[in-house]
Formats: sequence, structure tokens, C-alpha cells
Amino acid sequence: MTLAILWFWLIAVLWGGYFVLEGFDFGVGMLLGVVGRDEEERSTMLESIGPFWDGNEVWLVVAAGATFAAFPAWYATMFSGFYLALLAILVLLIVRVVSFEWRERHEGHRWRTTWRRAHTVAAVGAPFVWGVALANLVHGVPLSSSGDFTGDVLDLFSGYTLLAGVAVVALFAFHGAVFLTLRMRGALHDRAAATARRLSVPAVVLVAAALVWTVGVAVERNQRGVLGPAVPAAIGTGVLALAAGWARTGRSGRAFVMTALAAALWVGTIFTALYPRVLVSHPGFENSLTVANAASAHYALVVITVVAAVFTPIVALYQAWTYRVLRARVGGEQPAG
Amino acid sequence: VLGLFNTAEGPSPCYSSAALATSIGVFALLYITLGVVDFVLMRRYARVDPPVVREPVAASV
Repeated sequence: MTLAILWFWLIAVLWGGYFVLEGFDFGVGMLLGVVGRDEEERSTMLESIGPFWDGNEVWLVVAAGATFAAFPAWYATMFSGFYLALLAILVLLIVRVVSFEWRERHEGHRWRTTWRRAHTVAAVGAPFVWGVALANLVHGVPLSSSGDFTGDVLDLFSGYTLLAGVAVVALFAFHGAVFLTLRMRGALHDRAAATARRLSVPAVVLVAAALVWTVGVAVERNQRGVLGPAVPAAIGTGVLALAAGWARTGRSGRAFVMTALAAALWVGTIFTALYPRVLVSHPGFENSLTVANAASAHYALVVITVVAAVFTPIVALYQAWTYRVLRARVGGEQPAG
Repeated sequence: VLGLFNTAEGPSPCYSSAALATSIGVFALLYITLGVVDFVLMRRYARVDPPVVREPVAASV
């Protein structure tokens, strides 16, 4: 395995980590108006992700940084072609960050309601655009022979990519509801569990449909065999169905592990469907960017591999320690004893 | 990059000047709005008196 191939899969792992960790943050944000009955309860819900959400976003920053370092041609074409979509994501993430900080800065009902709604819009909008953007890597965008994006923003939207965006929103909403059942006490826990039960079937149906369509798109537009992308797609659908079953029987811990696996396997399916390309060109398949033609020079790949080998375990351990220290449930009555 | 890649060669060829200007305008508007709200919030907090700290009552012997 060459270093370029290694980095392609490492970037997939980074995206997987982002979907697993930030997925439940987005899900909690989506459900603020559903599970929380008043602003105090919504504050408690935000407390459940308060210590983690910014650390979880680091996975996205590292994924983008790794793409820049390992595949500059991919980075340049993707950030240029998806410019308006990424700009929308940036605005949504900025609004979301500000809503975390400013919502608590004033007691007024209108102020808090405004920022709660802004948070929810951002928590729905950002995953939707991520779903659309990642699906476009496989679905293909028009590229010139020099790798420049030659389409416009409307080329990013099709039946498949829109379904992918909606499916990611449904997956994260379910993931967030299950996360809340692990972190909440009392009435908030009960309402989160009821919400998880309600979301389970739509999430499974939408994700299964999008994953099956991804396999079809990979075969049709990326000259992939069925088996490669079908394996993670089938496992992803299976674990999400298991999560739905366990969420309906109140086994929240197991359900959360399965929704996390489903989020990781969503990314796994996209990257498996994509390989050995990094961005499919359609029309003009011969203009597609590949792992080989988009990678950095060998020396650059060696340097970033050494840096990643030293620092990634440190960051992962630190983040795991944070989760361990702050694992207690929040809200409701303290359990006796 | 000095002498190799000029700023004029940098913009994406697929977006018009109007699209780029609009996106920069959106960012400028967003940051100006956030800056104004932040300033108002900071001024409000700066004008609030600090909380009264009570001395601990000495335990009676």
C-alpha cells in the first residue's frame, strides 16, 4: 500500500470520526424544540454536549487539513467547485457556535428562543449540506481535463444527492436522540427515548435507500463492482436496523454503539464507492481525480505521516479522557445514593 | 506564491465576479452583525456591578 492510498483511508477515518462524534451534537441541536419543553430543559440538553462539541469539530478541521496536505489537487477542486455549498456550511457552523455562547448571555425569553431556533436551523442545515457534498464525490461533477470544476452550484443537486442529505439529517437526529437517552435523567430521558423510537424507522428507511442508491451510483458513474461498496452499505443498514430494535426496547447503550457504527459506515460506503477516485468527473469520466493523480509528493506524505503518527494518539487519548471525566448524566432528579 | 502563482490567477474559473462579491458581502454582513451584538453584550456586562461578596461569619465559641 502506498502512502497516498493510506492517506485516502485515513481521511475516510477522519470523516467517520466527525460523523460519529459531531453527528450526535447535530442531533441534539435538531431536537431542542422536540424533546425540551421549556428553555431550562433546552439548556440542560445543551449541557449534555457542551464539553464535547468543539472537540468533535476538530475531526472536521483535521480531515480538511489532511486533504490539503495529502491531496492538494482534490482539495483545490473540491473547495473551488463546492465553494457556495461550503460557504453555506461555514455560515451555519458560525451561527451554531455563536448560539452556544450567546444563548446563555441574556435571560430574555425572546433572546433565548431566537438563538435556540438559530441553533436548530444550523444543526439541520449543516448535516444536510455535508450529505449532499459527500454524495457528489461519487455522483460526479463536471471537471475539465485540468481538474477544474466547470459546472455551477445547481449541478450539486440531484435526486440522489438530495436523498443523501435528508438521510444524513435523519441518521444524526436518531443518533442524537439515542445519545440523549444516555445523558439525560427524568422526564427528559423519557421524552428522548420516545423520540428515538419515533425516529428509528424513518432513519433506517432513508439511510437504507440512500446507501443502496450509492452502490448503484458507484457502479454506474465510477466503474466500481457491486461488492466493494455493497458490503459497508449492507452492514451499515444492518447495524442501524439493530439500533432501531434496541432503541425500541430501551437498550440505549447498545443502540448508541450501533448508530455510531452506522454513521461511520455511511462514510465507509461513500469512500469505498469512491476508491480509487477521489472526485468523479461526470460527464467526462476520464477527467476524474484519482488517488494517484491528486496526491502530494512522496516527501510531503512521509512528513505528514510521521506528524500524524505522533500526535493523533495524543489527541485521541485526550478526547477519550474528556468523555470519561464528563460522562455523568445531566438534568432531572439526582438518583438516590 | 511569489513569482509563480499570482493572486489574479487564484479565483475559481467557475464562479462569476458577482457570485464572489455576493459571498464576500454575506460574510462581511454576518461578521458586522455578530460584532455589533457582541459589543452590545460586552457593554451590558461591563456596566453591571460585580456581585457582593459576603465575608464569612466567624464561628461563635
